[in-house]
Amino acid sequence: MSGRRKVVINYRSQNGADPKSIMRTALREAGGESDVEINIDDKATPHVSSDTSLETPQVMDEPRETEIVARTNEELQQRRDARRAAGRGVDERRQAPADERLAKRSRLRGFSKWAADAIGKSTVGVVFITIREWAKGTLGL
Amino acid sequence: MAHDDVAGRVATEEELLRLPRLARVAFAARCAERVQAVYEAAFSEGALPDVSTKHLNAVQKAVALARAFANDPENMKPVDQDGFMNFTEEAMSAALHADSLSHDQGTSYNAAAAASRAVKAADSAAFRHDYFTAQSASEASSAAAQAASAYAAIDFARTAMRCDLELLKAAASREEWNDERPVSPDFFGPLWPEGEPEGWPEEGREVRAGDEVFSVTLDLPADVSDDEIENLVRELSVRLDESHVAEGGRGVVIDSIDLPRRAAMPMEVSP
Repeated sequence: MSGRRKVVINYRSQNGADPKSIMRTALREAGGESDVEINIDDKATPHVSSDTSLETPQVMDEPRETEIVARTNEELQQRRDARRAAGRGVDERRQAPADERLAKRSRLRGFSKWAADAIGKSTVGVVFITIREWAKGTLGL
Repeated sequence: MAHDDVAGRVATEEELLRLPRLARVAFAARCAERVQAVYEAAFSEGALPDVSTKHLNAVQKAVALARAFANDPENMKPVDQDGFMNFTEEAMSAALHADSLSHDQGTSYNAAAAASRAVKAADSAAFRHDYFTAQSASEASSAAAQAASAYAAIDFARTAMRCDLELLKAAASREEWNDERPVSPDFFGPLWPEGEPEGWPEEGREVRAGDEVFSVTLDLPADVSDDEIENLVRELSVRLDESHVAEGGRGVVIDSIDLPRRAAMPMEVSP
């Protein structure tokens, strides 16, 4: 049994008219260059196989995935609604000032550390992110 | 024909000298890249009959080299030894060929000149000539603004270039960049923060997101619970969404998630 749990999250732009480069720029901060598999923490402790008694086997079913997608997208939609209510137009492209852009990038960059703390693993290397980009349909994926 | 508008430069040498060396090259490359489409469009529309594919390639290569140098100067050492000057001269030759056509009004000239100045900035940076790097970057920004003027897009171009410059300045200060800090092309975000100017050449239209999907894999310890995973997915998504919006996008959605599956525990059966 594998000692790791790999969760693959497939993101796309909410508005297909946005330049693709925006997603790449944002994600670059989360895990390095796109299309390249990168461990975001080089000092990761190698995985030690867990005692199987600790890994209570369970079956993960699709409704669970669907629920997570629905709940998260709902929250993202609420945030969009809030932005709209605050005066930002639906179809408006507006880039934030440099300092704000960098602050958001920095927050994204800090995700892995936050994640490590959130799941109670203070040792480094708890979370790795790899990023791949692909086109639905064209690659038959 | 002289097209340099010193008074109207987007960035002065003094301002650019305050940036780290590779950031100056990245800025120059970005300025040239923004108006590369002006030259390409004139070529493909047959507006530059005396200009050959060789000239077009020279312009494209000059921009690509400057961008690549800013991103990874170590990897450019072989080119460095041959001399970026060859590429500078080839792009300038492309500019002068375009300039010989009176109907061009300096548009293609300036687009090619921006490319030439960008690779010249890389050349100067390779030899650690800080002032010349800044001077070439400043000239690249000026030429790029002039090239955009043909599409009544000079203000658009100036705004976009100032956005790039402000981002570089803020990042260099905040993250304490040194002269050797590489700058990836992805650092900047979209070429036109508020969309391409009206009537801008199709060649310069940025690739749209469409339904392209970016997969992010979280590699987690085995004992992470499903609830914890959901919490991580939620937090990453919110942070990604915020960053996407700050860069000028309209946010992200999750297309799908693949959670790890495990074999079910075999049921004990009484003999």
